Amino acid sequence: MNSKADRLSLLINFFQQNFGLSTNEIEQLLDADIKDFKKGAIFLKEGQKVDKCFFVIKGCVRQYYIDENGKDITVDFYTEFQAISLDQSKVGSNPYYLECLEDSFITADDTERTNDLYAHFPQIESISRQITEQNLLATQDRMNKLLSMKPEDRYLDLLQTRPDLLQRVPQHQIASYLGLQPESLSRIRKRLAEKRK
Amino acid sequence: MIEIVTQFMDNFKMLTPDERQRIAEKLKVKQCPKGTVLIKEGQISKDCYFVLKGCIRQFYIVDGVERTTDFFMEMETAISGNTISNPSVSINYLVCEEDTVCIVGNAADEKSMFAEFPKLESITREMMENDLGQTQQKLAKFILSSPEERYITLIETRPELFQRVPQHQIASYIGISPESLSRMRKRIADKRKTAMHE
Repeated sequence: MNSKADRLSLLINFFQQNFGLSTNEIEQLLDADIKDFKKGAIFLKEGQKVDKCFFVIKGCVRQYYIDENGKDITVDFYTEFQAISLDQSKVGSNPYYLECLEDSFITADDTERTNDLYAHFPQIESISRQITEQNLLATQDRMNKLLSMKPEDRYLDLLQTRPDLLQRVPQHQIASYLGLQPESLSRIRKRLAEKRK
Repeated sequence: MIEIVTQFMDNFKMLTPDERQRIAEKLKVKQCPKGTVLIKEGQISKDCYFVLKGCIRQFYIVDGVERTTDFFMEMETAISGNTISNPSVSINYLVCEEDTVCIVGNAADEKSMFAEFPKLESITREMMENDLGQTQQKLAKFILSSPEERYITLIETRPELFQRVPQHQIASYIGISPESLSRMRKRIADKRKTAMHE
């Protein structure tokens, strides 16, 4: 897993298996700009222009913002083979930070190059649309759960849908992601553990 | 009714007038009077609804009580569950809260439309990216906030909701009872008055 070629092959395997890209289209991906970030690295900050498209090959990235009261609020986590979709339409008003919670390999392609790629390879644009669609549905689903499910059920749902996160992410960030205070999450976990006994 | 679709299609300057015309003719447009239930819990949902005019409310029934989870208005898309790619049993409701005109889409229509008008896929991708950005922002603002903070966020970001949607549905959306919302509104109004006199 050390050379750039290894990282690229992970990326290419994923797109071949899931989207059936042709060799020609895959060659375009070979030009991807792959960054190597250490755990703790923050590669996008509030106010910074979003002019890249990010895709996680390996690792774990947290998207968060700091609210008016200085509180750190986790919006999402991105792990292997997830696209990080940030709103690029509003110039200069990006409110989010992107932070690596583990050593991570991430493609960071200029939006301009990506748009150019879309123009020449419609199949790549189609994949991008499908991935955006999945992300949109997942985000709406989280909003719906936040507003319609009890805290305990939201936690149980996360255990079902993204069990890996609980191994990879600190508790207080999981709490924030679920819309809970850290103390409430501790109580829920304790209650569930006692029930199992 | 075709006029509203033609007007909407005129936004897409990257399409030729002829393409816009042909797409407008092919889109499935639905006119729904206020109160129309588009989908119920338990029904198979495969359609999504892009609102040209009107308002669609999404809600769940939890322990016999409606919990509103979103309002979709002009240029927003109401989807029930993971409907676009795989039809599934809906776990919520979509109801028109005003007379509504919407474009109805599903995976099969989408596929044939994209094949015939490749530029449409590009347009759809961009619209979805914007939609995703907005949805993320809604979630980010709501996730750890109190009902009062949610109320203030709505005043700031979606003021039109208060003109178009009944109070009790807004109460449900921010997670409180209608009575608590009345009290909260009064408290906020009093605070503002005091601030003005200071």
